Amino acid sequence: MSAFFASYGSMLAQAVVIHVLYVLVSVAIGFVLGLTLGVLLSRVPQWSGVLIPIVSIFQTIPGLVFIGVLFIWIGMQPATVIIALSIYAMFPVLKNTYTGILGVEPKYVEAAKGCGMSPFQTLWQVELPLAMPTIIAGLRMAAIYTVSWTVLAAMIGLGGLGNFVYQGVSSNNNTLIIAGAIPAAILAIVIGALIDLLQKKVTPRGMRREVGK
Amino acid sequence: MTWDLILQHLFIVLASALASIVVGLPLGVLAYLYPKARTAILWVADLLQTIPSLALLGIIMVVAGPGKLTVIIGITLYSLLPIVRNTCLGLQEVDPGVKEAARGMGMGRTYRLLHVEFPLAFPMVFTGVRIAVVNAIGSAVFAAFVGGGGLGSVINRGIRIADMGMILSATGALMVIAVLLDLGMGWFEGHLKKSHGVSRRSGIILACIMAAVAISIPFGLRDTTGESELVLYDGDYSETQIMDRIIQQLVESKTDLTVTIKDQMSQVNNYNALKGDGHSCDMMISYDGTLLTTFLKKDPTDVPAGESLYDFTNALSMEQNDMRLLEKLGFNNTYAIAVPQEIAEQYGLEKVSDLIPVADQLTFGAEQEFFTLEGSMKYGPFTEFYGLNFKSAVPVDAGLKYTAIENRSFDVTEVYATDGLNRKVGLKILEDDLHFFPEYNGAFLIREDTLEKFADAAPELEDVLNLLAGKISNEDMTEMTYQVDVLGGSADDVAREFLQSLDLL
Amino acid sequence: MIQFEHVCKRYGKTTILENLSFTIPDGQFVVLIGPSGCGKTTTMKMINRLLEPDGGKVLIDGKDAASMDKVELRRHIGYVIQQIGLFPNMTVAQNICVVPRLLKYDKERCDQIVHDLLEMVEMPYEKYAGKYPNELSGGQQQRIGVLRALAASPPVVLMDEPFGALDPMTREVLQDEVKKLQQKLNKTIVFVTHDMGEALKLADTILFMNGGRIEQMASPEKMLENPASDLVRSFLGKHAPGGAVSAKIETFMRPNAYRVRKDRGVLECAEMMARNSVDTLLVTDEADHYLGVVTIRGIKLWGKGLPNIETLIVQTPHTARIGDEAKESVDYLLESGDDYVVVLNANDTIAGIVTKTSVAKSVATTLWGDER
Repeated sequence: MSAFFASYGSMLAQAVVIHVLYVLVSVAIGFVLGLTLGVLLSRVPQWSGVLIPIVSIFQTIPGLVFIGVLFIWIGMQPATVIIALSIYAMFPVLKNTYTGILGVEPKYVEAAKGCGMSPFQTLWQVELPLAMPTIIAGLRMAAIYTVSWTVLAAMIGLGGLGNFVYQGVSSNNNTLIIAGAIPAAILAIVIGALIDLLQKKVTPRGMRREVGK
Repeated sequence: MTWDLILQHLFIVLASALASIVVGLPLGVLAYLYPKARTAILWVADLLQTIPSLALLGIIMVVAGPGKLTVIIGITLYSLLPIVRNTCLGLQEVDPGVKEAARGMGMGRTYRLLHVEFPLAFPMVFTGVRIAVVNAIGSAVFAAFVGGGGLGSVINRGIRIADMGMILSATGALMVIAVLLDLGMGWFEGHLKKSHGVSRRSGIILACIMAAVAISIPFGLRDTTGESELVLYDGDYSETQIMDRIIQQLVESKTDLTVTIKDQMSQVNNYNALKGDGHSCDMMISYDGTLLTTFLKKDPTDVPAGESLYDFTNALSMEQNDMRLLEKLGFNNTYAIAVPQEIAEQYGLEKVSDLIPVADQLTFGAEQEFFTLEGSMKYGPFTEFYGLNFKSAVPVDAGLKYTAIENRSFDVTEVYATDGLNRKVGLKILEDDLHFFPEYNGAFLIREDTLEKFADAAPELEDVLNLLAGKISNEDMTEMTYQVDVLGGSADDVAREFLQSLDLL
Repeated sequence: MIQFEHVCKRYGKTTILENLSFTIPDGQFVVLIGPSGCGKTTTMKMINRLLEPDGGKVLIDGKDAASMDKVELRRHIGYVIQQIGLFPNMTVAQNICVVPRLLKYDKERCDQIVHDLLEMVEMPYEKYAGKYPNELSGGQQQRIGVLRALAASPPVVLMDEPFGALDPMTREVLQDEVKKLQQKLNKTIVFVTHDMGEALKLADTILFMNGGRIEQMASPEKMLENPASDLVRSFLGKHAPGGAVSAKIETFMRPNAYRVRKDRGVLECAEMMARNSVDTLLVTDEADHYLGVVTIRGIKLWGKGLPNIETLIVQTPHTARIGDEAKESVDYLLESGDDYVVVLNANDTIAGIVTKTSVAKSVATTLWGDER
């Protein structure tokens, strides 16, 4: 164990940092994209019959393919990984934003309208806050999956914990696989816990009981 | 891409779905019945999701060995969360009035669960299965990394030779499978919701499908080797793929054996599948250097002076695993250091030593494997040996190396000497003037008991295989891989033409 | 002032409103009522333009609503919905101040509004301002719903069956509160309900709608007195006097009157009167036919020494028969100053009597039900 850290310790630390950076940047971009598109889609729910299945189909494309194809197009640069991961992170946020907003009971929207809120104010003060628990649940899913998918960055030479996993799998070295897998799992758990905390923060007291169910 | 690969993929998906239902349903019920266990069960299922697919499969492979079983176990673990969660949730959400009525009528716990609660929760449970299956289609791509076959191998190959058509057609097939399965299950789900729970007829349909998958599992996982069947695993790069076809055609024409080529596996996985008592193949194409360093974990420096690496390795392998190399085939697929032509001209590079003064202006890139700290044939010892100090070093997926150097993501790389892609990309191979890299002589690695097993069916097997001894030069091999990787020939045709040119067919 | 001028509304081929015209003067409590699908909610939602007319105009203070900014318009019209619709992500104070904040009132002014309004419904600021809607009872929630509508002091408040989901007790309390608030703040309130009792209790004017048209628009009294159609009458139901059945005399009749045979002794009768605290007994012959009455006054004046009451019998000026219209007898009672009218069956036996008290009782019963 100590021998392992002696030889791989600094590499591991560096890999964790790179991994975290990829995750943060991609999830942030994916969240903004997903939120925006989800909100836009919720304005035209009649399109969702077409768009949501398309999104679902795209979600089934393995990350491997996406990174591979992007790599062939734009080469070996962080942008390749970040674009691919952002798009993957976007899907759950988009879906949850859409379902979250549509799930807001009509009475609240009617009350908001009746109070004289403009469509934007209705969205901002009523629909988004009420949909927020669902949206954050989407963010959580996106973040946890992104931690896992960021392993693919190593496939195109961009480092992160995937380096350990790839080296381990290709040289039949279990220590290396585990050295990549465990920090990745811990990272996912920590990020998940942080988002749960955020979830509690963004859920107004008045709605907590409902969410807790 | 063939129907076979699609069926393999589908098999992996359905078998893991079945397994995760078998495991997940009881766990879900348990989580429902015992709130204390619920937290723990859901936490573990959630935790499993956070482990990267490749890592999870890698870890399972340690126990289950390379192959479909590993993939199925891995995907089963991933599929647990939606199934367990939905089962538990579905049971929890059954109308309390109904539950109370059932209790009031004097039904026992088990009876209530089986006849009242579960049928009502079933649509929700099925939704969980649907989510799991659709996700599994994507995850099953990683099967290719652990010798599990399926469409992932097509995608990997497409990425390696930068063949967009190949990648997209495999991805397209995946999407079609996903959409069809999703639509089918969506239809069934709608039907369930309309009939408010599981009806007798839909239950029967479902049971039939599950039974069919269950029956197919032994066939899909079939590992046993037949009486007169020589089993190989397909390689994950052209050279090994061509050699497998050469073995197949040669053996089938000269003996009464049939040769079966199974899923693609990397050298490491193939070796693990070959050795030991639970072996699932009979022989493989490999290299003496690989056998020594990667498989037996020794170092060329361990070879006593005066003894050849080939002989030393062979003796060691016999002693440890009862396996040995047949005669050298002639090609030496050693590591070689290569640079693009322009770089070679720009810096006047002929041999590796020429890199010494200019290394600090160049980026080195190679597959991850080349960067591990274990073993001596690696980046660290290599740069130290030559005194090279590269600007930076990048590990990439073996499959992407050529595309990367073509895009000039790095300037210097390590390649296999006989790789046809060297020619395609226009790489100049620098002479290993200080002889750092050992030889990697191509040779068949065969189990001693394979020869014994076929003593009756094909006593001449060893002689037949040795017909190729010394017959395949580096040029021959480079030409053949070029045919396949660059010109798009099939490994079968290339192998046949080569054997015909030697008058062996 | 809210004016509807020839307003039409269609959904596809179904006509919801047909050429609707009416005027609501300022400060009026107008209740829209009618069978479901009559267009009452549609009509109301056109005032704050949650719905737009397909034809005609809605004028607010003389200006065409369609020419005003929708959002701006709604901020000056309070709106209370049946499902309450308090925003669960906001506290009571925040909910009340939604519109003031939209109108960019400063914080102190908002606070003051919350203070004043909560006080008005007797919910202490300290206790309730920071609570979330799910921490309140249904009645409290809808109180806040009403306050939210009142917060920016809109001259007009729309209420869409605001108390429909509340239990009867709470409903009544809130009705009283709203009526009080309206009178105090002098708002124009447009109130949709399907409960005639609620309408009669609250409205200055009831607008009865049916099939997208106005069936009757009148004050509760006028509507009760003079329902425009059978439909209105059936809606008024037990609330209405003088309906087809209730117009008959027996509705107001008390069957148990004190009666005696003509051969009874004078003293016996005087005692009977004293025992039952009445001043009159009805007298019958052997076959129970009605003959007239004896009064305590007659006994006092002429009764001494008489064997029986036969000679003391006096005729009453007005008797009624079962099946007669009640109006005549009631009018007689009110005008003559007599205390009762005797009601006879077709065979001249006694059916009962009608007194002022029995009229009052049965009016009360029909108006407010048997529980009174």
